[in-house]
Amino acid sequence: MEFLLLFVSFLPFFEIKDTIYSYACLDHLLSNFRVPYNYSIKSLAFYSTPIYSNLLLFKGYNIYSPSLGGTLPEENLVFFDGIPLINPMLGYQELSLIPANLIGIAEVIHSSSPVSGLTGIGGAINLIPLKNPLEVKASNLRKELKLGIVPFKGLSFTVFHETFTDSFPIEYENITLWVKNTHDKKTGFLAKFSQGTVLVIKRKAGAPGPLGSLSMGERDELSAGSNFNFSLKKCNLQLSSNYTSQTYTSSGTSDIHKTLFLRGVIKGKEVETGANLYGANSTKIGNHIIPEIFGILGIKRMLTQKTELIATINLIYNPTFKTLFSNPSISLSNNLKFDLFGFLTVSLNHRNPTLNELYWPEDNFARGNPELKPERSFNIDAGLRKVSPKSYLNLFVFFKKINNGILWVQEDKYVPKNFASLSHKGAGLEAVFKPRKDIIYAEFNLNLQDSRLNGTPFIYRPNLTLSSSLGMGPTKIELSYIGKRPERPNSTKMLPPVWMINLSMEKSFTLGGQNFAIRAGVENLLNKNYEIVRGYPLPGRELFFEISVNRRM
Amino acid sequence: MLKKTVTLIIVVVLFSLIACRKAEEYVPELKNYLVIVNTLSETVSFYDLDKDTLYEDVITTGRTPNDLLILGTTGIIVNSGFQGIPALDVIDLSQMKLLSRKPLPTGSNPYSIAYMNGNFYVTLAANNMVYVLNQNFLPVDSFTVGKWPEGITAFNGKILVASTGFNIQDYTYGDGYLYVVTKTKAGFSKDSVKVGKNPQVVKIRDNKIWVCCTGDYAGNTGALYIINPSTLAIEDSIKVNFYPSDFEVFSNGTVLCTDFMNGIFRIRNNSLIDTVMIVYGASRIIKDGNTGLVSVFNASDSNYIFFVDPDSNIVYDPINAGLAKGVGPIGIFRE
Repeated sequence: MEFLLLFVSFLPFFEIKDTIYSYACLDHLLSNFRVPYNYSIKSLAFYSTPIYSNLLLFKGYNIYSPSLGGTLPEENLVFFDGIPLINPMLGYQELSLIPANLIGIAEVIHSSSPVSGLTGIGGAINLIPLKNPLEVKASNLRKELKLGIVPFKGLSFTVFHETFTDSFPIEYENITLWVKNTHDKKTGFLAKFSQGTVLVIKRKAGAPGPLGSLSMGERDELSAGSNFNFSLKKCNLQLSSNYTSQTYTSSGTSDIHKTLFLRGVIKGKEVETGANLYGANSTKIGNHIIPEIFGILGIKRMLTQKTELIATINLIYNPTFKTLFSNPSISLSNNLKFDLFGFLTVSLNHRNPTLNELYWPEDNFARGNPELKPERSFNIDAGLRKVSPKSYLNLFVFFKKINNGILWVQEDKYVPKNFASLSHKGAGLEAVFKPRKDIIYAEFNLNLQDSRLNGTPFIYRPNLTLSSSLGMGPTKIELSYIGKRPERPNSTKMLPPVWMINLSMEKSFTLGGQNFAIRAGVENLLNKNYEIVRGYPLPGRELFFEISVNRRM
Repeated sequence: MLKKTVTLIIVVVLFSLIACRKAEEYVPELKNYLVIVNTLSETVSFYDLDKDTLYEDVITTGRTPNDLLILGTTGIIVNSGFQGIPALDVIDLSQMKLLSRKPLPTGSNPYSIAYMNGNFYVTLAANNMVYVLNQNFLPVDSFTVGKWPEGITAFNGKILVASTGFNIQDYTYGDGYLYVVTKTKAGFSKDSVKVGKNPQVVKIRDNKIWVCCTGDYAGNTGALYIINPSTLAIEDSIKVNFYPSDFEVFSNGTVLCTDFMNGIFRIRNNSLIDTVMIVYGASRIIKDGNTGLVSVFNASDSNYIFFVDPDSNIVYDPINAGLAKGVGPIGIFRE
């Protein structure tokens, strides 16, 4: 708890009860900061940041896919304020749908997800909204407005609107090009009740293909998600839902894809049970419903005065795949000194094929594979964590071995197959220093990693990433580095390193009893059109100006 | 003692670093080798035909390499540029080094290249045209030609272009044509011959024009057309019940064809069809004497180059060209 409270002191609008940490663990299984998972929490002050600890965002045009520790996007769980953003067709939520001005903090459990009944092999990401009631921002690329009412009788309500430019220039192999059809308009609201959250987003966006592609699609999307917790007599009831609708129009024809995820969980002291329902109605894949039931038994014991054991068995039965997975997890945490803890977690996990992977009909590019089997993973996470009032250090190692990995393979068309043996191993250091309150703040993350597909380096996965930020009074500087990484399978061809530098300055003042902040800055100071994913060079320098009630950081 | 040990360690480390650097720069000296363009890994491997040794990923190509032309000691790779900029890679085959990368129009999807009288001719499929480049690969002219042109070759002062009729909007194939283009003082004069669905390859063999029509992958299978270059009359056509993507003609008129999904086939007497080998990924085919060399593409497993004897129908001595390489165009270089 102490280390969370430490972060709370850095991030004044953050509430502990909003986190994955509390949804997954805190209420019933864990009671202190000796959480045996590799856990981190990052503030999102800039939009172009490509890496948060070892969460790498694969950025295309109006499509962002999350990868934790080198895993596939489908292997990660994404939440917004506890709402499970699960799209059963894709297997994950593409993150560019979430308005950037709505997110204040990203918290990440890098270890295989401990969230009950859901199977994030890579881990889980929870996007936590900012609570400032007013924010107006303009840059050479985007415009944003966010307006909220202060909490009243347990209800807070925020409306938001965000637009992105329809084209931007890039410098690519010494040629100046314009990337077109990148427009993105999002409107919606976030309602927070005392017992839950509702998020609704409507979006109209261009869907340009990569460089060299002749594709010029258009996407109309609606997303509505909710998460509610009810305290009953001896247990807790959690109900969640996520609905998505996408109309994709290209070359005069339209496809409509609707998905629904429903989830209900009853949590007792050491026992949980519940059900998930994954459904889709699509002009491409037709109608499909996949139900799943699960039961969890969790035990927490102090083995010695300093050593705690947490053991869980997460039984998940899926009648569609005729599988019963036990997904056991054993965790040990050890208080080595008064402020130094060690942790070790060993777990098994799995991922079911997505509905697209199973049922995509044969078209000009691809076809699904109804014979697919679930992936299986073996995960080890271990580390040391040191917490003091002025610093936080986390040193960790991890290893994931995924068998029966599902990847789309190029044959005459792209076909998903259980052909991959994937492994991800690495080590990292996270450090936060705040020696003098409100004056200097420094954050540093270093990750060394090796991701392999059938023994060969896995594309787009760097061996080295670094993210750091330094706050000095009103000035904030952020530096991210992504090392060179394979551009093609089993090839010497590499994407060049990314050096992303962001900078901002802000001034706070009081007006009419309200705390206002003016912030101006520059993102991607070096004005480079980096390719996180090949074929998608990203925009160059972005100059922004922002006014908000209560400052962002 | 300690000082000596430290000095020794430093010397060893320095030597190791130098050795590593030299190893990275090492390029084999080959006189008789196979040039293998890996379309997925986007590299070029070289296979020493004298020593049966593969040198993997010696050169990296541009994005989406699709064709290879060898002229003397120069190799030219056509990069279609999906997920990037289309370009020609110019390679010194005697040194096995990339000399330069010459950009082509963005989004033009260049497909194939031919050489005639000091100029290079590149089909720009998405632009429905052929680019004419000089010896320095600078564009000097262009001409439109049918719809979605792919294969191209030169013969008797004429440029021959296979126009597939492909419609990128709905992925259908219209009528396929062979265009015969002659440079005149006024510009370019064009003749055309209607052939089958989706003509992708055109070659000159035994002084005849051979056009390989792949078919539409939707029930209309392929055919080979033999055309008189003087009259442009279709002298013969060979209908096949598969989708041929490349072909080669051997001494006694035997034809070897590849079909990406179904394998390698042999055609004798312009009608008798045998299956040489059922294999997934049969891609390009070239001729070395009376032997066929076939590249066999694979995106997830081993790739191969097969040697095929067209007379005996035997496949022998396959070369393992590496894992997940996506082998495509191949060529032979001999000093």
